[in-house]
Amino acid sequence: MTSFRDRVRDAFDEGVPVAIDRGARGHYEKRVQATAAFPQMEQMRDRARRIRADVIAHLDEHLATFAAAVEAHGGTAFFAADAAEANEYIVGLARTEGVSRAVKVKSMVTEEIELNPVLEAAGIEVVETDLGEFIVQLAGEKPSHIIAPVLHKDRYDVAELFAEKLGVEYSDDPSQLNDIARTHLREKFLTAEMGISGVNFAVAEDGSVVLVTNEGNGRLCTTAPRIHVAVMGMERLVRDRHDLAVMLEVLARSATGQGLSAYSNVVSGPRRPAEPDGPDQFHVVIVDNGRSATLGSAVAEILYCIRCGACLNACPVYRHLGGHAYGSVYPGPIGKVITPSLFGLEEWHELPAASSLCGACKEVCPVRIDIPKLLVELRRQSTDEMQPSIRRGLAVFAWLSTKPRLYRLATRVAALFGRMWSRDGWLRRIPFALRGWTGERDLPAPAKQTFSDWWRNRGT
Amino acid sequence: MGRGSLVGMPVQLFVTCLVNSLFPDVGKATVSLLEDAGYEVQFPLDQTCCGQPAYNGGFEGEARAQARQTVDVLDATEGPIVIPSGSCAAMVIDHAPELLWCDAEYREKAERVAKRTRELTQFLVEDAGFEVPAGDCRGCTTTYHASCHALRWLGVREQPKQLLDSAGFTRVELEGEDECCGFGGLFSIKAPEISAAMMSTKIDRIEASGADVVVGVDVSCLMHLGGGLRRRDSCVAVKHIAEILAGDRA
Amino acid sequence: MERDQFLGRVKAALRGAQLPDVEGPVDSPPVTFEDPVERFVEMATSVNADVVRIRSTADAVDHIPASAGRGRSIAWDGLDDYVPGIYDSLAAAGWERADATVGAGSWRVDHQRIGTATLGVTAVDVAIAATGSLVLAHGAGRPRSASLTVEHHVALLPVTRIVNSLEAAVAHVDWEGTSNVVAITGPSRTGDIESILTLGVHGPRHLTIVLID
Repeated sequence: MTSFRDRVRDAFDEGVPVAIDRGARGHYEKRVQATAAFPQMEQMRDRARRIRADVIAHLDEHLATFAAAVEAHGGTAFFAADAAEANEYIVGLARTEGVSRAVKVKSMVTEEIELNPVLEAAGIEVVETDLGEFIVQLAGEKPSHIIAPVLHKDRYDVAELFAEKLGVEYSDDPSQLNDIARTHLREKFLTAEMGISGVNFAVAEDGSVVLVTNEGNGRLCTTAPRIHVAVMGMERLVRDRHDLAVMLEVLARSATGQGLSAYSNVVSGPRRPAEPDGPDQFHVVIVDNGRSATLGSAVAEILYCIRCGACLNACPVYRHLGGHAYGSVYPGPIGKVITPSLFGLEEWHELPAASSLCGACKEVCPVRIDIPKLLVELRRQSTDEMQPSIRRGLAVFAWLSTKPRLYRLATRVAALFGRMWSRDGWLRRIPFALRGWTGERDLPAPAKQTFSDWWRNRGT
Repeated sequence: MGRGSLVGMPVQLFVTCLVNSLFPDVGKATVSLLEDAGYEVQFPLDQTCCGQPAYNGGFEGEARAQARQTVDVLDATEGPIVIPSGSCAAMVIDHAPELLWCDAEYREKAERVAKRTRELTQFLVEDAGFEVPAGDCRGCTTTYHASCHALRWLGVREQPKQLLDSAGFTRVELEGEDECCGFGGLFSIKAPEISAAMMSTKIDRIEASGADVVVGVDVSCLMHLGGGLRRRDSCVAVKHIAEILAGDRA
Repeated sequence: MERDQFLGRVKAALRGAQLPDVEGPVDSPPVTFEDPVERFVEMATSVNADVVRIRSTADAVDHIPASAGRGRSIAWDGLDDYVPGIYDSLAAAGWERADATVGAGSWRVDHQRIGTATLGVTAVDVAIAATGSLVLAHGAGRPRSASLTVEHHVALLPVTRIVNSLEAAVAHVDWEGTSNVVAITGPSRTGDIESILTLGVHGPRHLTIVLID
C-alpha cells in the first residue's frame, strides 16, 4: 500500500473535490443549528457518555445478557473473534440456505471485515442499497465519508454512471436519479433471500438491534428477505431502551442535524408467529476483530464511538483531504485512532501524526471522546517512527530546558546565528528537518536580543 | 486602570520559549499592559519551555522533564501566573497536571501552579477588569483568529474581541474564525501539504475579510499565518493581542 | 469462537483497562412543550409530512387519496376503531385491499403482489411532539409494508396519543408483543447526491398524518 504521505500528495495533485468540504461543512452547520434548537443537548451528551462508559466498563456481562436475549426471542447469536470467522459464518449460512442474492444496508463493520468480496467469491450477488453505497458499488470505488458515502461525486458523475451501468437514459436531475435507483433496487429487495445490516445500537436487555436510516432501506433489508443477518462491532451495546432513547437523541442531531432520522427501527428477533411479514431467521454476528485488544489499551475510550460522523464534518484535515487519502475504512478523526488500534500502529502510525490537535472533533463528539488525547497517546507509542533529527532536537531541547543558565546561553547563540542567516529578519530556507516549513512559508529569524536578556538589562 | 492598581499586586510572567527567542516584543507589550493594569510584573528567570511541543509529539519523558522544570520555577513564586499564549497556558493548566499525576512529588505542585495560571486576555478581562487606554492605530481594521487551544481548552474567544472593541479598534468578523490555521507544531513539518492547505484556506478568508491586521493570542499561529501572508506578498499584518493593545506604549 | 472464550477475552482486557471513570448524570429534566400538539404539527410539517387535523372522523375520508383506477392498498386491521367505516370508504374510493401476508413458501409471489399496492393506511401507537415522529409497533394484522413498500402512507393519529419526547414515548409501546417497532419521521429521504434532498428512496414518498381531535 502506498504511504499516507503519497496518498496525501495524490489527493492534492488530483484536486480533492470541493464537494467534500462543502458537504462536510454543510453537515457541521446543521449540527450547530440542531444543537442550538435543542436545549437539552449538552445534558444529553453527558448522559450519552455515561451510558457508553458504563456499558464498555462491563462489556462482557452485557454481551452475555444480549446474546441470551437474542436467543430468547428466537434469534441466533454468533461470536466472531475476527473477520475470517465472521465471514465464514455468514457465507456458511448463505450456502446452507441456498442464498443467491443478498441486499445490504450500509455497514461500516462489514466493510471492515471485507464481507462483500467473500460473498461474491462464493457466487452470491451482493447489492448495496444505500443510494450512496449503491453508487460507489457500481463505480467500483470506496466511500469517502462514513455516513455520506458519495460526498466526492456530483450529480453528473452519478448520471453518467447510471446511464453506463444500468442502461437507463441519461438524466442528471437528482429526483430522477433517485427514482432510477428506487426502481432498480426495489426488484433486488423483493427477490433477495438474505438481508445484511450493521447495527447502530444493540440493546442488551431484549436482544434487539437498532437500524437508523433516512432512506428506508434499513427496514426493507430486514423485512423482505427470509433471513436477516445483523453484523455488529461488539462495543455497540446499550443496556436498555431508556439508554437507547438518549443515544438516539444525540445520534441524528450530531450526524446530520435532524431531530431523528426518517426511520429508527428496533428489531427483536425473527417475526413472531402471528406477524404477516418479516424474516423467518434472525442472526447477530458479534465481531471482535481487534476490539478486545483496544479495550485493554490506552485508547480504549475510542470504543464509545457511535459512528455519527460529526468529527469528520468538523475536522479541517478531513475537509481538506477527503476520505480516500486516509486509506482506511474509517477516515477522519475517529479513523485516526481506531485504524491503528484495530489494524496495527506499525502500519498506520502516520495517521495519528496527521493532526494539528485543534480539538474540533472533541468539541462535537456526542459522547465527548477526547480524541486529541488519544492521538497523543498513539504518538507516544510511535516515537520510534519520528525522524531521528527531530527526536534528537527535541531531546536536546528538553535537556537544555532543565538547565536554565545553559538554556539562556544557547538561546543567545541561536540569536547570533539567526542574525547571520536571515534576510530582513526572516529565514527563507532552513536546511534539514525544518525544510518542510520553509517549503511553504518564511520563518522569522531569532530576535537580536531575547526577552530574558531585555528583562535583565531593564534593571527593575 | 485595573484592579491591580489597588494593591500593586505581583504577577508572574511566563513568557514562553517562542516569545523569548523569536518575538520578544510580544513579551515587552505584555509587560506594558500588565503594568498599565496596575500590576507589578515579575519574571522568574529560570523559566524555559512548558513542554508542549514534546507533549504533542508523544515524547512523554522529555515533556515531563520540561513540565517539572516549569512547575518548579513557578511554584516558587506567588500571585497569578500570566501567559501570553493560549497553547502554553493550556499546557500548564491542563496537560502538565495530567503528565505529572503519577509523580508523588509533583502532582500537587502542578495542580497549585495550574490553579494560578491564566492566559493573558482571560486575566485582563476576567480577573483585572482592565480597560485599555485609547491610543494609536485606531484607524486600521482588525480581525480576530481564534487559536484552537485558547478556544477549546480554555474557552477564550470573546475576551480578546472585547479588548479590541473597548480599545476602540474597528473589527470585522473573520469567517471560519474558529478553524485551525494549520500550524499544529510538528504537524506543519510532518504533514506539510495538509498544513499548507489549511493555512491557505485561512489566509484566503483573512484577505476576504478586508482587515488590515489579523490579531491572535498565540504567536505560533501568528508566525505560521504571517509567514504565509508574507509569501503571498500580502498587505495584511499579523499582531499579537498584546502588541496591538500596547501600541507605542510598549 | 465459543461464547465463553470470546467473553473471557473481553473480561481479561477489562482487567487491565485504562478506561475513563464512569461519571455524569443519569437523568436530565424532561422535554416539555406548552402545546405538544402544536409542536407536533410544526415538526412533522418541517420534515415534509402533510398534517391534516379533523374534528369529525367523517372528514377523514376527504384525505384519502383517490385511486387512479383500481389501486391496491394495504390497511392495518382495527382502523375502524379510529375512523368508523374506513374500510368501506377506502373501497368506495377505488382501493382494493391487498392481502399483506408473506408466506414462507410463497414469499416471491407474495412480495410481487404486495409490491403493487401504492397506498398504506395504519394507526399510530404513540407520536412524538419534539420531532414530529410516529411510532408504530408491528404485529398481527399490522404489516410493515403498509408504511414501507407503498408510495403513500396515511397514518391515523388521535391527538391524545402525542407525547412530548422520545424518552416519554418508550413507555407507550408494547415491546414484548412485537418483533419490530419503528419511529417514522417524515417520508423516506436522502441527501446523498450533492446534499440535495429527494424524497421516496426506499420508502413512501408521501406521508399524510390525519390528526383526530
